[in-house]
Amino acid sequence: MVMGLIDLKNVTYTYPLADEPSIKDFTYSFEQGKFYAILGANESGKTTLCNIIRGFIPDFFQGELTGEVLFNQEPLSHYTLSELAPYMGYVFQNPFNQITGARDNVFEEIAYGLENLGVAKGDIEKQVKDIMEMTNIMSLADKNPFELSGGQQQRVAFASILALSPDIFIIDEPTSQLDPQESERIFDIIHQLKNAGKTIILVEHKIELISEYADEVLVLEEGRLICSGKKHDVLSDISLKERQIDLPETTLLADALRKAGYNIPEKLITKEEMKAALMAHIKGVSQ
Amino acid sequence: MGEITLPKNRITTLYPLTKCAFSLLIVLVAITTFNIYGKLAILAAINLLAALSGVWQLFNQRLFKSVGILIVLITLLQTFFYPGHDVLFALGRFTATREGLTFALKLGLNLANIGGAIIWLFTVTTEKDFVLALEKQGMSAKASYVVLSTLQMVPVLKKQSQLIMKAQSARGVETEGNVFVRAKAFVPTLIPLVLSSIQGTEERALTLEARGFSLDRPKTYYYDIHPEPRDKMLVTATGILAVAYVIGKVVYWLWV
Ligand SMILES: Nc1ncnc2c1ncn2[C@@H]1O[C@H](COP(=O)(O)OP(=O)(O)OP(=O)(O)O)[C@@H](O)[C@H]1O
Ligand SMILES: [Mg+2]
Repeated sequence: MVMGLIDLKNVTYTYPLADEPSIKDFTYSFEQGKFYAILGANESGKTTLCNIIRGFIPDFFQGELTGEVLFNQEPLSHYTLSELAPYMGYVFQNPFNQITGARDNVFEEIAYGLENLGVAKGDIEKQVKDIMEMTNIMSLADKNPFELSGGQQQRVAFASILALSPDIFIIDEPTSQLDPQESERIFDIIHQLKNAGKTIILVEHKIELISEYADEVLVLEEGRLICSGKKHDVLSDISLKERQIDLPETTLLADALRKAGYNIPEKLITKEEMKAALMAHIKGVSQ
Repeated sequence: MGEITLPKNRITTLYPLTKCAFSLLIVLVAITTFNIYGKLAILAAINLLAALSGVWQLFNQRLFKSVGILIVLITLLQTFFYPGHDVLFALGRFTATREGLTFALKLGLNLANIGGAIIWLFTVTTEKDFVLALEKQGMSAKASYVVLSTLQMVPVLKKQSQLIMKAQSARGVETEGNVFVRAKAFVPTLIPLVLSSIQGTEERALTLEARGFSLDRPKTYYYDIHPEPRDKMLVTATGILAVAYVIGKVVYWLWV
């Protein structure tokens, strides 16, 4: 087996007092520099999986964890939760609960992680400003983080993790409270992170954005990994529709066209790809 | 936290622990002064200090809001009920005595002086600075986090509960009226609030870890404060004064 950056081998986890495991026999190898998207219905175990990768399970959440979780080929349990902070950034699902409460303005809230890492003051200043510009929250600098809207808090939370510049980003639904334009901006930043060689593990429902930006897609169903691989292979799999997984419009359209007798190429998932295929088709017909 | 901006002057800009030393000295003098004129002099001194700090009005507002009402109540009760013979005047069955009034004034002045010393300190010092100074003095980062985040969370929870109350009353739940009516509306309001804040605490603990809170290395203070030479001088002077005062007091007791 190829060793990745983060390896999970036969991981099963049951929350305390739960009857059934929330993650069942999960095996996967996450490689450096790739962008992974995790899909799945509500309660399918996406957040639980993130918590395992970040070490919150079993360090914080008790319960029963079996199997192996390796980070750089070393058991993740060799690190404390805070020790992992410079390496693994984690953006939580609920924006309100990621406001630390330790600082009374947005600038210092974003600087907080860097303060804990002991970064020099001048570097903190520059880094935080850059990040705030990138995430478009410069105007919030002096506001109390608790007095922001959900969407603003979500961007502050994301910025706070960006500021730490970790190698791995675990991001749980970062755009749930953002409008399409702001969501696009977040994806744009994630894309830049990937280009900078960062590893991204993202839980997200906005399937069109995933089809455009992700490398690999993992699909969870009731705690089990039912499908994984290159995004073109996974997202073009129309059988996922029956399993309540959202698929890109292109996949649905291609399927409908094929059923209507058109000869549409395999594995189209983005609108651009569909457009190109249709243009080629039209050209073929008109010739 | 900090809706009111402090005037910047020679006193407010002192290091928090310097101001704390002043405050402690006042408390020390207040609890060892038994003479009513002495107590009045201390109250005057605190007022002078507040005026010099440029916060006289704010200071008195806060003092009144916190201990003022208590003082009025105590004065009334003690004046009438403290045992004494020297009757000042009578109201029906109740008689006001000079002994009662004196006792009441002393108690009230004690409250005003001790309360005043503390209120002055927190009127001229932000909680943020105070906690930071304590943390730099060796208080644990956990303790300072608890204080700071609690100060920030209280207004948030207050706002949330008001929102829920509004929603309740919009749904027809009676939220106004006597204590019992309000309690009936308030309890179901509080349960989800408390539950969600408990769950929030869990996640917030993880948020802190994700930001390296428990890392065992020296932290940077982006917002920072330092004692200046004059702070060292003033703290030393205050210390010497306190010691001299205690010695003087003891000597006086032994002699008289
Ligand atoms: N702290 C917990 N204690 C006990 N059970 C939990 C806990 N957190 C989650 N679960 C259970 O584990 C299962 C998976 O939950 P999880 O939150 O990982 O799903 P999810 O895919 O992230 O869902 P969503 O899309 O709603 O965020 C669910 O059945 C849930 O009830
Ligand atoms: Mg989730």
